Amino acid sequence: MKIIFLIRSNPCESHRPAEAIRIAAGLGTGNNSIKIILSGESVRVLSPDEEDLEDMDIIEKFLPIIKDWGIPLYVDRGSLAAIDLKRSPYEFRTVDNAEVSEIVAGGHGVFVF
Amino acid sequence: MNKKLGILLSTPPSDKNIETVIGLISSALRNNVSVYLYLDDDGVECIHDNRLIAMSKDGLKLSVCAYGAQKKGIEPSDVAMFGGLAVLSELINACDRFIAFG
Repeated sequence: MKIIFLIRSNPCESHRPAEAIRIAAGLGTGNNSIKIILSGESVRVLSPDEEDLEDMDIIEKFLPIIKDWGIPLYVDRGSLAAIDLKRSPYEFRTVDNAEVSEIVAGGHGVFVF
Repeated sequence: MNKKLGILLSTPPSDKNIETVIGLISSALRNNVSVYLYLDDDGVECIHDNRLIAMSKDGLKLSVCAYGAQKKGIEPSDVAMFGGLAVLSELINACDRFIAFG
């Protein structure tokens, strides 16, 4: 199954981005194809400069797993205006709204967090 | 064989999603669709919703994220199956349709 995670919550205020990352890593162990789209403030989870995110321990535990398994990360281009990810240790592809829609449309299931 | 509908609910009982989910389950059960509900994150608190408990006696298969339940101090009970993401993964793959409410 192709499962898309669209993460939009602010990790400075909500634990939901961390929960999404945990679930994505968990579902990635099965026969599922996972894609993660980060939009808005949620892109902060990829920044090496953020130290005070909700459930930081979960993010630090599961994001490297997502990286190791090659689960693709997509970042909404518009979200990068205020957040600098040049030093991010994670590889990601920048996408525009049309590409986000295309990725979401290609999923059998879409989880929005 | 009955069609299978899977639902993920990850929002708390205070969110309007619970009303949509209950309506959806009710309609599906009336139409002989097998329904599997997985409660995750803040959604685990919906385990206390009497309507869901009643529907579980009418055929709803209710599962709760064990990790989320532990975080919220919800004790395992026979109302639902308490399991991990492997359960969710199986549901996603086994159901004809899967809808997430987050």
